[in-house]
Amino acid sequence: MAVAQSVLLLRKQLAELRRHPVDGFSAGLVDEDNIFKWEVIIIGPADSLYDGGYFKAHLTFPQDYPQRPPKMKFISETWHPNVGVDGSVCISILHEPGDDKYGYETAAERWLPVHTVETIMVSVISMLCDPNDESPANVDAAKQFREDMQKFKKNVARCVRKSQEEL
Amino acid sequence: MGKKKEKDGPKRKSIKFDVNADIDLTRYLKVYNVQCLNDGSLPCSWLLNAMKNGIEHRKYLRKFIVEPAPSPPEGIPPQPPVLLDTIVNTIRKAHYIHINELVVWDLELQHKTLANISLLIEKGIYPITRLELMDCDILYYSVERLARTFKVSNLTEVNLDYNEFGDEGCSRLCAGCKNNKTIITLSLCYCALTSASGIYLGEIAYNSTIREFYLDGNKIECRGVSDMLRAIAIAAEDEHMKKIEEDRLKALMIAEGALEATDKNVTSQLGTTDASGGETDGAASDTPKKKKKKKKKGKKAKKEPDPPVVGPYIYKLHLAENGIDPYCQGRMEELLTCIGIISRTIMHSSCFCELDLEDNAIGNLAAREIMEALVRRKEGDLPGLKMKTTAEIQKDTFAAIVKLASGLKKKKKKGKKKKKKK
Repeated sequence: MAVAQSVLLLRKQLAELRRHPVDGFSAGLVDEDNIFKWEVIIIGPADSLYDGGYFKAHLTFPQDYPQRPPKMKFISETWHPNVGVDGSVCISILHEPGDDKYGYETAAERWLPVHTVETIMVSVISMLCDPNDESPANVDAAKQFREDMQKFKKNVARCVRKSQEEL
Repeated sequence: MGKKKEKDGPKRKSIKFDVNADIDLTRYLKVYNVQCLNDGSLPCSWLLNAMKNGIEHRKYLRKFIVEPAPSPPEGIPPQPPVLLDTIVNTIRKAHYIHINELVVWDLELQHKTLANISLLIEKGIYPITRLELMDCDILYYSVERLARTFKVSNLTEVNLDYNEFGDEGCSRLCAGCKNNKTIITLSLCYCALTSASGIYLGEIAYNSTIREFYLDGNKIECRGVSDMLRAIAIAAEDEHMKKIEEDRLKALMIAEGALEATDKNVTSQLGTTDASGGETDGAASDTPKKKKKKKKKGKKAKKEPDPPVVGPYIYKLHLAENGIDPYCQGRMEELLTCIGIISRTIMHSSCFCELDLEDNAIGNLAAREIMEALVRRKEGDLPGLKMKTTAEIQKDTFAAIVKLASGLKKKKKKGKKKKKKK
């Protein structure tokens, strides 16, 4: 049953996004037969360092979605304090529901079944606009973000260029 | 014409195949692999993939992107580097004359390699129009070698971002760009330029076809910007004044002409019947010609842009993060001079279309002046200017600037959205 629910929900969201595309990103499936793996392309938000970039990312949904959050991974190279070196996105709403053992996040900040692809994307876009260097996934990037903004900008600019070339 | 591959869907109609693309690319790959073994170079993975893709779709690979392989995780012995020399030599050996763009990222280039690239660019047979060497640790004397090729090259765009060759390099680069007739865009972001570079840049802006400057993240400062734009502002003002005068004269002429025309009309009406008969004839014979013309237009779609003009024209100027601010003793005056010159350019230059002053704390007074210049520009009926400025100024001034100069909008944004939907 649970599988059926997730499939239905994802299909509904996909159809909705196709019918009414939301500004800032576009979504599709990596493989038409697998509804659990999505490919999204995020357009670098204007007035951020990522302006002009097109960042490809994959969303992998668990079978018991929406009880548990999907995993998001950037395929395009990204340089961001909250994106791991391997591309995995680290934002609070993508963390497994429940309390944080370190007490950094509250349960309300974490995954809730009401989140949709759209709300995830909105969070990711706001993450791009406003990096959080307090809980970094990419420590080097966070350090650079704090201490050497110029180098950080340069690395971001390079990622933006690369993402443009790769499209 | 006419023969279209059956597989082509309605969407792909416009895609054409390049005859022999697969053969030439396969040959390149073969030679490249051998060369890599000989030189001890790691093949560039992007290039290999793009080549394979090109072979599959029978499209020539026009753009070469060369970048180092990601450094292996700890514990694994380091791989040999990707060598640009190998790629350049392969282009020569395989006689691959379809390369338009050469993009190199993050490779440390020795003088020898740069000379090698220069030799390739100098050969007219390789139509390289865009060269990008980003963060390649190019030194000032290597820049000189590269700049010497500009005169005999096909280059239209040169991008040397993040090579910290400084003023020395800039002066040598500009010496090479002098009287250049092909290059349009020059990008020197984060090249450690200081105010001394302004004068060189101004010279090439005045005396060559280069008209788009990307100079973000340097320390050109007020003095450098003033040096760079002074002559251009004056030239633009002159031209604008001349144009206004001409327009005025023209308007006068038309007004006079109109008077005469009314007189003529009366006389010519007598002979209209004859003339109109002739016209219809002409129109009939014209129609088939017109049809032909239309067809041709449909095929070409884009009109060839006019060749760039040598002269004091600047179209795009990006000066983000250049320390254009009053935060030093005696700098206030410099800032005002500089802003004055920029304002004059804004007011009078009709071809100026992009100005980026982000991350320069220019302050309220200067922002105000720019705003007024923009108002004057609008009143003078010059084409719109896209502009970015710092937000650290008064709210209403900022809002006015944003309104008057509709903000930098990067291209590309619209078309691509549709493509991605799978």
